[in-house]
Amino acid sequence: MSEPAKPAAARVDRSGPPPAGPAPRWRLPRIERERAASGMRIAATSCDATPELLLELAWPAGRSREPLGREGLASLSAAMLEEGTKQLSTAQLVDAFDALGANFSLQCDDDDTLLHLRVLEEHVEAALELVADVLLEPRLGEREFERVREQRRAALRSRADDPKRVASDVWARLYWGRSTPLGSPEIGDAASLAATRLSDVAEFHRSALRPRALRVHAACRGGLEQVQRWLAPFEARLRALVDESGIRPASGEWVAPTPLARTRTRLFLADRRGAPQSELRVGHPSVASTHPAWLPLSALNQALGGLFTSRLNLNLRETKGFTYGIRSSFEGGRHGGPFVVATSVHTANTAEALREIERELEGYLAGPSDDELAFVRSALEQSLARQFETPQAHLSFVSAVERLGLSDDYPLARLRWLAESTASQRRALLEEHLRPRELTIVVVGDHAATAKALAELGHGSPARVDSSGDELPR
Amino acid sequence: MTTPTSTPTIPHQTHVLANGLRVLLHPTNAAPVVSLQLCYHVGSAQELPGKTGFAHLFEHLLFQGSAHVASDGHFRHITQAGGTLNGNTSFDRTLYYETLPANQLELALWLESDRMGFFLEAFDQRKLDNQRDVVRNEKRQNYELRPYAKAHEVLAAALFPPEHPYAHLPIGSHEDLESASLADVSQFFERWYRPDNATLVLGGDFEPRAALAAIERWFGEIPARGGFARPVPVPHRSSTEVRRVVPDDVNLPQVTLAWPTPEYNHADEAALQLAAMVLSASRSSVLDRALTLDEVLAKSVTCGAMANELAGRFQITATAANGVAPERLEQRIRELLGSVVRGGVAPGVLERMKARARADFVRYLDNVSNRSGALALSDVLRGRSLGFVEAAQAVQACDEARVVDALRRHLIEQPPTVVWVVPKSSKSA
Repeated sequence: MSEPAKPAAARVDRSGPPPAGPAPRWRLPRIERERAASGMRIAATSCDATPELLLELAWPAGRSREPLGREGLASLSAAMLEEGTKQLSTAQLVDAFDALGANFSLQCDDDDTLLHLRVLEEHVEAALELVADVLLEPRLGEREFERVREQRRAALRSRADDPKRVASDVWARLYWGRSTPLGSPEIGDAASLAATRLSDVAEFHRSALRPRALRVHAACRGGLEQVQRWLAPFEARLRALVDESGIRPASGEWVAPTPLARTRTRLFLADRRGAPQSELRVGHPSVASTHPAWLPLSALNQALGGLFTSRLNLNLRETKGFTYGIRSSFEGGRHGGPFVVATSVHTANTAEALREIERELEGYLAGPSDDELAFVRSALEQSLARQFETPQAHLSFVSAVERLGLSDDYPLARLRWLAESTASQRRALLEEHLRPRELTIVVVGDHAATAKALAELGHGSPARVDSSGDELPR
Repeated sequence: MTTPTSTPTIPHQTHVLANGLRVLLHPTNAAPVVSLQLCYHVGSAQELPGKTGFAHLFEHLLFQGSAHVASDGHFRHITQAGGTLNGNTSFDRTLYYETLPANQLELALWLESDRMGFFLEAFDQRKLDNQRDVVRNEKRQNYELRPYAKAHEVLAAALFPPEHPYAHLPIGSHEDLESASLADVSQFFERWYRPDNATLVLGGDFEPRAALAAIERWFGEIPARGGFARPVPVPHRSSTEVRRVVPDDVNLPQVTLAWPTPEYNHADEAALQLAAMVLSASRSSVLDRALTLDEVLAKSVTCGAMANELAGRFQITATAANGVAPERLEQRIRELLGSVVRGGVAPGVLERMKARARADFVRYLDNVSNRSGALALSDVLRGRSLGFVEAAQAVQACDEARVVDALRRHLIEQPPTVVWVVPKSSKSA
């Protein structure tokens, strides 16, 4: 087929980007809330995109609640909830969800254990009955427990195989230290796994899963009202639970974890002989997402390392070719997550890449240029029109607002701050919260190939750490 | 568009411009979004000897600007307009896409048409050198640093004969990437990046007639090349068992068994898809249940049936649990395969897997970008825009006899290619 192209009557003007049409109409998902009689809180949004329910159940069985010496207990408890109910074995439970075409999973993070369910409307009732069984009548069998522990022993054994995972483990240990479980891998270590009993799992689950601490986040057609109708049988079982077993309030001794402070930049290296690349993590403690500075900082981060077109990525990838990609973020969370830069660079460029990262951070203390600011404002503002297309996006929005303590209009609040802040306010914010002279630098890479150049960065020779982040003797 | 129990379909209209560009319009006003997906019918299968990795490297180069677009312009303009974008390269095709607020449609058309029509004018050695470094770092990151990933290239080379287009991966070799020259760039562009070798899908909130006129306006002047023919499948069937051992920086051995299988649209495609689900789609599937629940022989197991344009592959990969030798793991997997072929599929399994496949399909298509991308890939690779919907329907229509028969003919009556990844300290095979 090689017919000649039709000669274009009027050539288009290719000299620059064509003008955009009028901005489309869109709105943020509207969150409706209710506290059920059991004490369970529900936050839901209406989304017509698909005939499904997307549900997230959250309760405070997060990693930060693990007793020291039982690191990994939160994720082990979450895993055990997938191991069957009083009525159904592990395989039968899996089959029951599969028969409904439902996606069901459990995971935990620093604060919560999270149960996720995605199911077509016609199967919601049946799926929620299974969910109630999982939470209220878990099997917690010895045989299943031994099997899950055996699987975790294998996971621990292979953990150090992956340099990315080593980098995050080393980072966590150096960031949080040993006085909080957050300084350990989410699956704990060999000692904590060996020490953990099935009774620990049962107690951890029972003490955290109180109706008043249970939060439901949902997206579906019909919003809150529909969710309440669907949840009515579950709510009834929760109320019975309160009456009959008198679940205890949470213990009051819990102390929020605090990251370790560093007053000067320190360099750590976990050796990986022959590695073609070095995994890098560079950062320092920063604010929780509940802190008023977090939203502005997350906006300012865009031009530094939040977008493909950020300073870090344009320099280290598109100019220098050191890496396939580099990102930075103010991680937020509820406990003061870090500001952190993460990348993987060619071994030969390790020290040079770190020098460039430090230089970019230092340079960004002056704040974004006017062009960068306009760019970020435009990118964030216009992207809102396409961000709430799917039910998953609706659920993620509800979850972020509820779990991170953000306002219902936080995307707009962030834009307002960008529009109204002055250059000196932005600079002041960065000077307070971006600290390029107090960095923790983690290198997971070939010591022999990188140590000499790393020592010339001005932070002394790298301190050697093992794959858990514990310092090795010099 | 989606009803709970039937396979969804995607309403769209098809046009062909005078220069051969196929244009599929999928209007939907569910969200104020447009998604443009441009699929060129060229992938690593078309690479010449000594030029492996070039199709993918070229994909990177296409983001480095064109006659009227600055070198970082593609990312900059789309991001600033609130959009998202990327590209990816496989054996058979290269897909570029951007999803934007609906009022930015012309921006996407400007950028995509400029690089289709006016790419070479703005290309230079510096861009090539930079993106070569980026791609080599992509290879280091995804194939050399990641545990077990070294096995991917070894498997491809062992599964297919050296002259087969799928015997090397799209990422290519460092040596070939090093040797890529400016002349290679222009030849590749001139040979493959023509309107008559591409399908453009526009999905989302737009008025079809105006959108088609705009597409004509931006793309109509780009000349066709001609001479494109649909590639002919290169089926391969192995006659002897091939074994490879890959030492890696890992603590637990991993076993992969793989078989060459037929290409897209083949009569066995659906049965092999469903067979892969029966074997390992859920924790109670045959392999998962036996290897991770009933006994702890594996830390994890996965299984996939991957059809492509010229051939397919069926692959089982299991990572051993502590203290389990690869011999034992491999033997158990073979026994389990044999038991399915001899004893059939347990009652209820096929229904559950079909329910799961239906739900996954609905979920995957819940956004205009995935729907448009699926249309583009299907139009280019299956020769029918809704070929992927037909493939999903065929899975629903498949019965146990066909699943077992497909497993017998492709996995039992054909010797596998076996790759072990072993800890560097123990290289025994």
